[in-house]
Amino acid sequence: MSGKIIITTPFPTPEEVAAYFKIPAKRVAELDRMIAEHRAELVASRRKKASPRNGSRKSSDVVKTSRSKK
Amino acid sequence: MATPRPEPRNAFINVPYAKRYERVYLAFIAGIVGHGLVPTAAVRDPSSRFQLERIYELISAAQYSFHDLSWMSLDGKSPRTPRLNMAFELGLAVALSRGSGANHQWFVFDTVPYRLDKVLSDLGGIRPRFHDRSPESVLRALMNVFGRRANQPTLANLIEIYQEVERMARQIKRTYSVDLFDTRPFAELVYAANRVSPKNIPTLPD
Repeated sequence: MSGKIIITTPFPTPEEVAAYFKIPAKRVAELDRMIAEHRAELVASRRKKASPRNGSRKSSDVVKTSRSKK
Repeated sequence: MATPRPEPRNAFINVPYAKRYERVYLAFIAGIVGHGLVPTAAVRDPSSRFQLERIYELISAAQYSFHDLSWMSLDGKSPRTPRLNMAFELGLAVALSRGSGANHQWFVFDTVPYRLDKVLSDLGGIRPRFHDRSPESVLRALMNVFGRRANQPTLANLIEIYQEVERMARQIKRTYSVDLFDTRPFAELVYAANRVSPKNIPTLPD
C-alpha cells in the first residue's frame, strides 16, 4: 500500500493505554515514577549542557543557583 | 474465527523478534505512539491460546499493520531455517484488507531496495518503505506513512520519544526481563512512549 495516511483520532490517554494492556494500577504508578525520574535527569543534563563553561559564568548566576536550591 | 472490527487507533507491528532488531522494534513503538496510535504485536505470551488465532485477532483488530521483511538470513539454530512468520503475517493482513467492507491498511518495510521484487514477487507493484535498521531511519519511514491533522510530531519529537522508550527498555532489562519481545515489556514500553509523548510534542496538552 502507498500514500500518506492522515490520522484524525485523538491521542489515547495514558489511562486508556494502561487499561487496554491491563497494566495494574500499582505498576502504572511505578512506571510513572520511573518516567518522572528519567525526565528529571534529562532536564538536569540538558541544563548542564546549556550552561556556560567554567570561567564564563557570572557571579550573579552562582548566587541565583544556590538560592534556588534552598 | 470471528473477525473483530478494527480499532481505528491500533497498529500491528510485525518485526523479527531478534536481538539485532531490538532498536527497530523500539523505533516502531516510539514512532507509532508518537503519531497517536496504539501499537500491538504478537509478542510471546506463555499464557496465550493457539498462536495463529491470537495473531489473526490482533491483525484484524488493527486498522494498520507494519511488516518488516528484512530478515532474509537463516537462523543459527540447527536445523538452520529462514523465518517465515513475518511473510505469513503479511499474507494474513493482505487477505484481511481484501475482505468485503475491510478497512485494514498494511505497509511493507525492507532494508535493501528491489530485494522484495525478487524474493516476494507476488508483491509486485507494492512500494516497500526502507530503513537501515537505525531508529532514525525507521522513524523517517513512519513519517512518510503517517501525518496528523493536529499535533503532528517532528522527527526531533519522535527521536526524543524513542530515547525515552530505549531508556525504559534498559530499565526493564535491568529489573525483570532481558527479553523485550514479551507481553509485559511490550505493554510497558507502549505505556512509557504514550506517557512521554505530551512532553515531547509541544502541541499536545500535558
